[in-house]
Amino acid sequence: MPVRSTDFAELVEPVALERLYDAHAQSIFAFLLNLTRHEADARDLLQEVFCRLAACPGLMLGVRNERAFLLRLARNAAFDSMRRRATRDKYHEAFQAADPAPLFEDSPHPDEAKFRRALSQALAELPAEQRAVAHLKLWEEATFEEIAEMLGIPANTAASRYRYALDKLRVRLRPLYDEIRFLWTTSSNF
Amino acid sequence: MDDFEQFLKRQPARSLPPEWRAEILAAAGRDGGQISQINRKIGKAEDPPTIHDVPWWLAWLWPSPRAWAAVACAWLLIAGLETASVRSAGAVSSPALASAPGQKFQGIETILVALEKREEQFEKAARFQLESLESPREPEERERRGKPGACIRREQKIQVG
Repeated sequence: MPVRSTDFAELVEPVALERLYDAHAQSIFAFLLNLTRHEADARDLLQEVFCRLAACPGLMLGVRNERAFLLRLARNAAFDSMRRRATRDKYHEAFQAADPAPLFEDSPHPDEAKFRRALSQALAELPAEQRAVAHLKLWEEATFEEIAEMLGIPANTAASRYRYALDKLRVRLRPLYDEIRFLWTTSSNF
Repeated sequence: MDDFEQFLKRQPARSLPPEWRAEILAAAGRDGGQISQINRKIGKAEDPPTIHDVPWWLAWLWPSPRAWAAVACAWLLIAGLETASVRSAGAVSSPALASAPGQKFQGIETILVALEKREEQFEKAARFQLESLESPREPEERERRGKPGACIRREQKIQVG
């Protein structure tokens, strides 16, 4: 058997894990933060993903799209965690909705900062499935086929969830967006 | 994508705190290594090979070696049981089934009959051992008790006596 080493635990972890972390951890964290809306939970889940990779070095074997695979791992971990919490603590979801963690960087411009806070809040109000699709479409620039594969849903379902999510965001954020766009066209600060 | 979507896309996500990198990688190295060690200690199958040194045919099989091994074991077990039962039970099958086009039913029935016989043998042996442990008896008595009709013969003996 043309396998170089039998001690797989020592083969891949240090170098490959670091490479994967540097390449994908930011995206995974942003996705997890959007799903869980809790920084500590997102951190724990991010660690869980990398622990799983370290425990099973062959998990990435043959994977063509590393980012999509890792996001799928993260999504499964997040939904398992949410399911466990739902049975353990009925009030967790309510607490999270009341005070979701900010998703975006602060901005020095007050209007832009206000828009980002409103966007963060609007995303928190979406159902988790729609939030996941919206995040992958907008900030990971995934196609509906890729999103369908990552989330284990049909592509049409991904497309319709995205449309619903976007419609809700549009309704919620239109006034602010129009205000900022007006400022943008009239000011040179943006 | 329209302007609104483009504008949403441009909003930058929060950065990952840099201090997390060392902590998460250290935890992954520690916990992942422990899990691998535990797997090795309890004799679990070795971790799959890395992506670096696997031929194409192995890469096709290797994503789930345990699944393939489990399927192979199940087939071997079924084949072994069928062979053993056919040899020990002989041609045990109903005439109707023997002539039926589906010979598989004959095989399954043979296996079931053989299993039932084995169960009976185990029960007899267990009863025999239990009785021998309960009280010491003469070998003849023990043998007689194991055979059918022993109780009737004993009663007849008492009546005659």
